[in-house]
Amino acid sequence: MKALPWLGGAALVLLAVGLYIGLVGSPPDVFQRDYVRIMYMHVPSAFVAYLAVATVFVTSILYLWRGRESYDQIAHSAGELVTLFTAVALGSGMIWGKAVWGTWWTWDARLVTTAVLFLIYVGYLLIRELAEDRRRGARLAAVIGIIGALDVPVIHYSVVWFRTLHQPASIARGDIQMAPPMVAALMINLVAFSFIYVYMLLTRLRLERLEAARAAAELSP
Amino acid sequence: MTAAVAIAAAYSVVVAGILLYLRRVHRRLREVEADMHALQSDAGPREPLTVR
Repeated sequence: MKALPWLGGAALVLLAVGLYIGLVGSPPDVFQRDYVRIMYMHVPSAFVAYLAVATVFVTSILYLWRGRESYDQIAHSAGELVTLFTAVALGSGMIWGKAVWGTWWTWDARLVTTAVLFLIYVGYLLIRELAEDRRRGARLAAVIGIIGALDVPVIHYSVVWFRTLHQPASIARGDIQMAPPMVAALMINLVAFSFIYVYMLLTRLRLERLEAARAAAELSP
Repeated sequence: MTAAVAIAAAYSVVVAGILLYLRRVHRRLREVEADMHALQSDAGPREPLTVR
């Protein structure tokens, strides 16, 4: 945990470089003009939400299989980050949508499936809070976390499978349809947000472990 | 909505979300650390008992 401040610092430096290239060094888009710069925050937020879902998915399977508390603690911490980053991706996307499409919200496949992911993980956290038996709540949440993760491929391919207002991926299997400075800014911010995610996950995990230790200490005579 | 306003609003949503969450986690961390410290103080010294 001594590496946490370094991790946070590295994330901030990377973010500053990425935002400088994104806001100053990259050109405006042909169609969207400067509005495209929202992408440098919106896409990394959605990417981190996917990372957090993957963490919940893997650790929930491990918890149901092995039953170790540490897997559940990681899943719970990552579950909170899924809701946070899905919410900010939806929020920044709505602002982008209002500016470019002229509407805050439309019943588009990408938007709806992302909102469904948010609601699934709100339910995931509620189950934990409301369960009277903590272990039973953790097992139920693990099942919801695994089922919720199945929404991610649907979100990702929604722009391919359905006719949507949301643009398709600009970087797909080596086919890059963006100017090099745009790609650089986006990639740097993706790495910066990944660092921020690891920092937030480890900080939240530390809280989870301390709270478990406090509960155990309060119960012991 | 001008581009500057839209960019500022979108960036604010993301940054505020992250900062508010981190502030909440750090506040809870301070609380639980204080509780743990108080619990350890109440329990007294941890040295093993010795027979004189």
